Amino acid sequence: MPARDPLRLPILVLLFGGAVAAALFVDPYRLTIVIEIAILVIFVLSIDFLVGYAGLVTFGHAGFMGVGAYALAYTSHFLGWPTGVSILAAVALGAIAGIVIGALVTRVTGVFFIMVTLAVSMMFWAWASKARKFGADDGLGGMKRMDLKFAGIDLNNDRVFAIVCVVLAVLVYSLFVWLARSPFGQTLKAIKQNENRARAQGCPVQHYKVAAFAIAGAVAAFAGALHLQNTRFVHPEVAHWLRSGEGLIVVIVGGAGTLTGPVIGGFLFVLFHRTVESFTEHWQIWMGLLFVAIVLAAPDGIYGRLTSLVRRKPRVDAPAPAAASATGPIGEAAPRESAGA
Amino acid sequence: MELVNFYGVQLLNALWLSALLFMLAVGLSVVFGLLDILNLAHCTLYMIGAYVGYTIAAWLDSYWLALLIAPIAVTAVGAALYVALLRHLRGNHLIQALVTFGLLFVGYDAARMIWGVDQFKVAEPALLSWGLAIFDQKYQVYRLFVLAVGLVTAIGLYLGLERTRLGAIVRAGVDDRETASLLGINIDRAFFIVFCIGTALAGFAGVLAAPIRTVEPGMDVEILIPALVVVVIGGPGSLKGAVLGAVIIGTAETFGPVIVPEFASFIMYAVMAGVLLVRPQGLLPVKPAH
Repeated sequence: MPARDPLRLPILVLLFGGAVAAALFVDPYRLTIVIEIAILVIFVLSIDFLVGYAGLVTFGHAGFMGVGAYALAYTSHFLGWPTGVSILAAVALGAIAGIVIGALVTRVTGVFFIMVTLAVSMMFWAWASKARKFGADDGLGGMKRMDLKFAGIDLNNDRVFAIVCVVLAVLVYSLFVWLARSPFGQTLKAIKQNENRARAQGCPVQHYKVAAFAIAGAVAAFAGALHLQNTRFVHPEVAHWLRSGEGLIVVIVGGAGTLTGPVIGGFLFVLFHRTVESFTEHWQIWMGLLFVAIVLAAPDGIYGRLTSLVRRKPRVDAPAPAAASATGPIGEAAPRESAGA
Repeated sequence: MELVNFYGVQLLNALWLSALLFMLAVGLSVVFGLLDILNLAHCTLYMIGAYVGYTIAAWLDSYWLALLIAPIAVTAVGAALYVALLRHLRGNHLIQALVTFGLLFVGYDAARMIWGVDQFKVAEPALLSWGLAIFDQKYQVYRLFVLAVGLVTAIGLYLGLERTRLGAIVRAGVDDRETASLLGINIDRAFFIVFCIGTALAGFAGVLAAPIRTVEPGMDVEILIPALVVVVIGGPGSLKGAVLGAVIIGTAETFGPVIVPEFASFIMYAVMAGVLLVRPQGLLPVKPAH
């Protein structure tokens, strides 16, 4: 959990600040990297909320990204709705899809859950790659970005668009930190720790899980809508299992249940991908191997490892836990280490 | 009469697809149900079987040698994977899923590295490349061969499980692993053999599929989803469940596009959702729900 971490604020300032600075100064190619990172960060934050807080390890979250992208494409391109309204509709549809799918998949647990989420998302992909209205598996171009010229913001300028995306990523991060600390988030964590105990205490476990799915679905749909705004091109690939897998990999490698970890993971993943890609087209094999190695060697992820390294030090010379909490970046009301795991 | 012919052919199509799905899903299902290992890379082994089969068939110009050698090669890969990795992950489904998911990426890209992105087809063996006059048309005998192999495999596995010493050990191990170990039975060795059989069947299915379906990167995930659905609706670990699940999905996947083309891509998932709503543990679970 992100409570009282001396590393958290510096890392976030470094990453998000760096992204904004990069958006201001880098060349057009690197600008696309910044945009890609921001959208991926929003997507993986929604996965981390499900995986790290609600304990629902989904293998098909890109399906919601697809819902967002296709809803936006349909309402704005075919129905002619204003783009802003369409994005809201896409997010709402993501939430509804989250409720429906969440109600179905949370009936099963463990391995069934993993398999069913994978299958349900591929169902959307299968539909999208056959949907002739959307160009089937060729995709459909000609989408428009949102028009904010009245506010002096030209989203068709990639530099401006990149900054907007980074700001949105920061907002989504803040939203999830707030949610995680809220009674709702704390209850989710309690369910993750011991579902039977939570149920015995009268907690409507199923409702909480479905609600978590609705939120994560809405945010992933938002990421999908942003993705469409970025590429202006709707394509079934947005909902493919590879994308779900990448998202989950980013969360696990960064550190599930920390929110900050997945942000780090998102940055590293895109930079790693683009770097390796410039040497060889076979980047997935290296990513896969690296991922397997990290899962086996550091199941708590990069951020988990970093924080445990930092935490171990002060215990030697200053064994007062109260002092450590007082110097934390943000005074938190959250109970200490309530997550345990 | 025309209608009978039409649906008769579809029925044959449904049956050979069911046979193929069964041979793939049974390994996935039994390895999960018995060994408690979720191997998402099972279908990567199927893909390796198809590719290796293609290569051998091209080199040696013999389908039958490919059908013999490729499963052995795949079993070697699977056994190495088991000994080096999967064996140590027993009991932790999340880590298993993540690691084998990573292996899916590795396998997908490795196939592209070695064989490129081209689509290949393996020629049917001459012995089976003729058409049988049935339902007013020439039906490819090779497909009937696949169906027959599936049937023989199912019966063989059933007899193996019910009538042999290994089968008894495996059943005992599933029932109560500790007690079986205490009785001096080498459960680990029995489970390793079961894993190898599942792997060999995946490779075997890959070669069998190669003349009908195209050999290409991504063929692994394409079949992973239906195979997972078969396991889920049949009930993990259950041989009969795998048969039933494979027949249901094979039938749905064949008749769906014919009867309701606009919903074809949904049918499989609708079936799965329906089964899960009624029986979350699958249709024929090994152990009754607690």
